[in-house]
Amino acid sequence: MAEQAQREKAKGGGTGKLVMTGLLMLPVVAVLLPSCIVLAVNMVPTFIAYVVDKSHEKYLAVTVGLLNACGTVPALAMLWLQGQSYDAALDISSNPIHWLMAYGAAAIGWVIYLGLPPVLGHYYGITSQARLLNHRRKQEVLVEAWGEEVRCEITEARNE
Amino acid sequence: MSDLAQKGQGTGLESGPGTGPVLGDRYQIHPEQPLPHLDSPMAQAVAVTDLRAADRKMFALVCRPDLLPRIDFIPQISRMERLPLINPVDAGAVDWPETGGRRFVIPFELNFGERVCPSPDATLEPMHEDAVVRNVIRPLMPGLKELSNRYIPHRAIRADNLFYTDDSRQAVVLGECVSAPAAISQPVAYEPIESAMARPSARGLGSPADDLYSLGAVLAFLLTGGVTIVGKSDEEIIRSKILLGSYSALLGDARVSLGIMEPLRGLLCDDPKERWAVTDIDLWLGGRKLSPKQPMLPIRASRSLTMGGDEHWTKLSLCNAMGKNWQEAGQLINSGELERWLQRALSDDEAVHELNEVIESASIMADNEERLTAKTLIVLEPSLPLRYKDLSVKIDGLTYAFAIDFHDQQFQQTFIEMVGTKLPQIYLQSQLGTRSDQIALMKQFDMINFFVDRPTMGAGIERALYETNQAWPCQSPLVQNFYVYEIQDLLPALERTAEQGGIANEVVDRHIVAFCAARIRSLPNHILRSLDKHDDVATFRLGVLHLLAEVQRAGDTKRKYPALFKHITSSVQPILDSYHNCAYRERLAQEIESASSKGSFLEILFLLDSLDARNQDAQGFESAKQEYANHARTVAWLQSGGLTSAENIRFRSQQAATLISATVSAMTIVALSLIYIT
Repeated sequence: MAEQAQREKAKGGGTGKLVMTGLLMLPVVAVLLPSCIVLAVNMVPTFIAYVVDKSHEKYLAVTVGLLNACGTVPALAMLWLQGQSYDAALDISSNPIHWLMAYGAAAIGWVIYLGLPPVLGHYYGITSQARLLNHRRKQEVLVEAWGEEVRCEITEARNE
Repeated sequence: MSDLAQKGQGTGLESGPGTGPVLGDRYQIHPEQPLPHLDSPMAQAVAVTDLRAADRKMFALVCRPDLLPRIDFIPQISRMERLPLINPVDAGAVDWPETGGRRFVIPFELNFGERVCPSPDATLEPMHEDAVVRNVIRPLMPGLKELSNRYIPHRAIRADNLFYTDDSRQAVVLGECVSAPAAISQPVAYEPIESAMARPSARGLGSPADDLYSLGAVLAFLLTGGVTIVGKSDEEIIRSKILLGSYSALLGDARVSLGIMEPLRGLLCDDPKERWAVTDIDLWLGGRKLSPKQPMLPIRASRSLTMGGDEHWTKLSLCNAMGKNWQEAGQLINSGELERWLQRALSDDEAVHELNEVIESASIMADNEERLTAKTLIVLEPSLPLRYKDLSVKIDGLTYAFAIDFHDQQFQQTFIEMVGTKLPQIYLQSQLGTRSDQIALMKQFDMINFFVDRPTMGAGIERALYETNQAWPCQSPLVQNFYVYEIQDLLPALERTAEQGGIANEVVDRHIVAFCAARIRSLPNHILRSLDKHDDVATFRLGVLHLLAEVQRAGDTKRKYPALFKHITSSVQPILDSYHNCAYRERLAQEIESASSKGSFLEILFLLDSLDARNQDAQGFESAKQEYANHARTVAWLQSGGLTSAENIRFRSQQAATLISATVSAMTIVALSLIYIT
């Protein structure tokens, strides 16, 4: 019961923090509403990545988000050059070129995220073999220098 | 070490020109030319050539390898040149071609005539009293005086060891007394009762009083022609001496004048305190005439007691018989028969009191029957030898017997039992007075007990042997043939054994270690501890090396021992193996090979037992083990998929993707910023 109460309290605390952040951000959003509209349209892949990524560190969201943000910069720059009006924001948000840049950059982020594991897997396979050989060679050198008795720790080491 | 022994030993291993070994660069021994008429009971006589005076007539006595000559007295007696003694001119161990080992030889000048009595069993034409005084007593007096003054008991005065000075037969000289332990060859007729009852090897050094008794026995022999003793068994002679007194036993029915009776009674007095001294003979020869001493026979009991099938009327006679009938003696004591006899037949209340005390203490101390019998014999007749089972020893001869009969297992067992039950100490306590030599003996017996109770290397019965017999040769089978009685002789002997291929395994054994421990006072204890570790070959062999280095330091450090070094260098592998570093081991082996040509055990020891090197090796080995273990852990981790596991790859990929994304983003932002700014 106490745990549940504590959990509910923590949950309540998190919601409260979110509400507080939202309230603090409200003036910013009110002032920069056109920019927020452009960002909201162009940063959809990042939102999706954030939702999809269940890990605590949110590596996927960060990877996609950073590149997605880069792809959104030209649209924001154009908005700010046109005076940051609601018309310009709607106009820019409906421009497929900007969509392409923002979503394309996000897509690159997805590709990097999904494509690295097989590459690194191969790389670590090779590295692992090389390191094994290296350690074994060093062990042989020790045996040559100090005799077979130096091996006595192997069992313990393996047990560890 | 004696001067003469030093002289002889120094060149003993080298052979001189011509045939036969040479002693001291001067006396060439001819083992192939025996001179049986000059043999001593324990030494064979052979011809000798003085290489510096070829016409000098000489002979040498070749001592038995299992007996020790009286090395301590040889230098002193050799200097008594003008006295009526056959003096050794040198002494030492030489190579002995017949056995391939070494023998102790004592050369003498052959400047005397025939033996007075050709053999111990021979009889003679009785000599006239005047002739005895003129030709025997007077000529011998200077020698006896000098020996007595210097407290050097001759202990070999007997008719067959007297020699005429020349063919005129007008004077006699005393034969040699140095080729065997004191009194070991004396027939019982020539020994006082208590010494005659002891086994020959355990008669001890004795005293000048014993010599004077022997002189009396010689005079009796010459006056009677030996008829009273020749043909009789030792036991018969002893019994006769006990029963009749020595004078009557040795003179028998012979009639002698009052003039000669006086010295005979004085010299053959069975009480050593009452016995004539040299001054008494001197005064008698000078004309003092006293009435002859009357024999002091022991008190006779009113009834006899049977022991060993014979009836005994005196305590002395009974004690002699009890010592020879051990079991029966035990029964006699336990049955109370002895006490009754002492009280009723002998009226000896003091003896009864002491016997009761012994029996009482025996019940308290849970003594066995043997110990009770031994203690009873001690209190009944303290002057007699110490008896225990079949052993009968004079207390100062016990350590001699221990050495001489060391290889007799039965003797050794009985000896250990006797010393272990502290009977010698009890015997010494029963003696009147507290002479300094009694205290020294007490310490010796305590020391024997101490070592016998510790059967480690460098202790045990072997150490007791060499500690109590300072000149006794090493009995190790490895060097026994080489008569090693001084520490500096040990390595040359081992070298010879190694040359002959006689060292199958270890260079030292229990005897050698005990011999070294007894002869090298400064021998560090850690060497003995190392030598006791038989299951740790490396430590044991290091101990061997250390011991040999100490022996070498005590002797000739410049002498080389190639055969011994060859054996040693081939046996140091376990020590080399005790080092872990292979490269150091190889280098060490090469250094030992080159160091062995210098002939120093110490140098090899320094190489093999360097503390710094050993510490470095141990530390290095520990580090190497840790390093190896670390590698092993890493290998195990890699083999178990430390790098290639899906988890690791996913984690690393995520990190890498984030990093790439951040880098690309940063570069893009910078590029766009530049574009918009420009």
